[in-house]
Amino acid sequence: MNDLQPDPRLRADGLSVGYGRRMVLPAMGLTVPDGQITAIVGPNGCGKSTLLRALARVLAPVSGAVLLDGEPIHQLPSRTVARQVGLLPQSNVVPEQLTVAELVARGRYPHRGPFGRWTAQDQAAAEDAMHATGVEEFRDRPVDELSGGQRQRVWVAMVLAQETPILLLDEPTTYLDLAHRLEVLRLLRSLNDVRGVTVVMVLHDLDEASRYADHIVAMREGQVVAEGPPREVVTPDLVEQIFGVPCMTIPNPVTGSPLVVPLNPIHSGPALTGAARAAG
Amino acid sequence: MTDARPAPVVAVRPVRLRMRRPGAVTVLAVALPIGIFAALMVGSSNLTMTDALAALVGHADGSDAFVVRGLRLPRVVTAVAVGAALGASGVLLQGLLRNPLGSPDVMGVTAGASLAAVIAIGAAVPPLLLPLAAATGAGLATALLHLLTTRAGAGGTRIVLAGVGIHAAAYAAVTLVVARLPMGRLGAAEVWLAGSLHARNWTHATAVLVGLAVGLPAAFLLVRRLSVLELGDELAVGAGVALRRTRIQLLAVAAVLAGVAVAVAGPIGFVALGAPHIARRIVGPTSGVTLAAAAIIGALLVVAADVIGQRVFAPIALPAGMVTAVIGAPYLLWLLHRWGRR
Repeated sequence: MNDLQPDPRLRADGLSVGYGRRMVLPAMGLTVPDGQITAIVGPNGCGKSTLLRALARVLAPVSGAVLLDGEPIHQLPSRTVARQVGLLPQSNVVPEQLTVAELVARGRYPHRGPFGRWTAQDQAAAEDAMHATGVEEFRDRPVDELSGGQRQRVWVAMVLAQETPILLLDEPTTYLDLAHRLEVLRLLRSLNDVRGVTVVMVLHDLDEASRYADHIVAMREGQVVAEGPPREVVTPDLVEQIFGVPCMTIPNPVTGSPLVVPLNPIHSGPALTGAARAAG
Repeated sequence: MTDARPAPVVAVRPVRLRMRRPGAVTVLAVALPIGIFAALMVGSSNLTMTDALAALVGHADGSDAFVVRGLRLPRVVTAVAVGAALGASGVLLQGLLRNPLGSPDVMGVTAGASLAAVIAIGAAVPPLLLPLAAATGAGLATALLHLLTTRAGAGGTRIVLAGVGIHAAAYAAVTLVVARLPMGRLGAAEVWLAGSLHARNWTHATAVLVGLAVGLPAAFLLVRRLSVLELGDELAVGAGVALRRTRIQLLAVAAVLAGVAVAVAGPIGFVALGAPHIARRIVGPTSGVTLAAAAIIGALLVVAADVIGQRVFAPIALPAGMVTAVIGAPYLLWLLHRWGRR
């Protein structure tokens, strides 16, 4: 406690999580670096989404704990946690005819509680969130009539309206086209740069992770294989180890962050032969 | 960072909250007393507006006063309370299940009440205990629904399937029990199962009003949590809704509301399903205003169904439950049709 470095706000300690009898994360430890963007990467089914859900207390640990400021997050009042940690899940439900502004306003729940009035501060937070995500122009339109990219920005706006110093996002760029992916990632980057928000996100794309994250957590089969800055973690050895894909990395010509280039993609895996193609 | 930003004193361009069409709510609030008064005027003897008013406030001769205050008023008050309870119950259950079909009359809550009621009729319990039996049945069906769906983070579809299953099983059991009832009690069971407000007196009205006095405020206390919960379980947890507790509370309150309504009037269908839909179309998605609107619309539907049932084929009176079924079936088909196209 007397260290110069303050204790990290969010960490997992001996965390085991499973669904029924299937253990997805066996006893893992993880420290989320404060004030940084952390990307969790790894192959499908490696437990990265499970880890994020456990960090967000959606899944209860079988043993061990997720600690927020040293307290087990599952034992804290849910609304207290929700003022510190926000979560954007992978799939959400849009009620028919709910407008953008109404949806974003619901993000203020942890600050208002079941009975609190709508205050000027709630108003300011909602406006701010809509402004930051660029959804102001369709504030009065029903969310279910928006395109996928617009809709994702609305969900991000709702979580931003929650005004939490820690933000967890489960594949926030999935289903988005290139422009919208960049938009969301840049928004998260600027939230971190300008407001010091700690961001943890599950990402599929290693290049996006390298480019936008400060810290990468690489997982395979429920274990953290490597973690650290992108330049140290995203290496040909590691990519082959966790994805089984031989590759080389080159510096991204724009940012210098590592860019993954797979080797011999056609000849190293299963592929259609000419005969099979003719038969098919 | 929240503290650093100067809070604006006056909110500019308010986030459009809750009330989409305040006018519609006003219309509903005015329509209810008009509907009640109209229901007091019509019946086997029709009264003029002045006669009905005089009878209501006590300046009329004996027979009018008896008809209005002794017969029609308790019946109308019961209808209003039953409809309001059904409408509110539907809002809670549909929001919790995230499914427009997730109302107590589809999810087995009403069926559970019916089963308990016919068993009670078969056991020849005093009629006064019938509401208690029905409410217990509604509670048990809801508890079963919770037990079947609470494991493994059941999503909306799974809960709806479980509910439809409970509904089917309970009604199969109702048929079985009714088939074995002695002739003398068959009539009582059939009258109850039709869902009627016939001969409802102040005892009935009081019973359902007590349930409403407990259930409706509880529903209003839960509605904001519901508005977050309906966006998805994970999102709701992230936003600080205690998932398990909130779900149990919503189910319990929905069961109390549907239970007292069914207990007093029998299974009046469609109201719990349709009133929330109509309310959402008028005032927008889940909120306190939607809840109030659904309660008022539910009350209007039951009052109207009762009056229509009494007058359309007079002197033969149809039970209100039959009228709502006739109105509700096409509405349900239209809903499914629209849903299928989405």
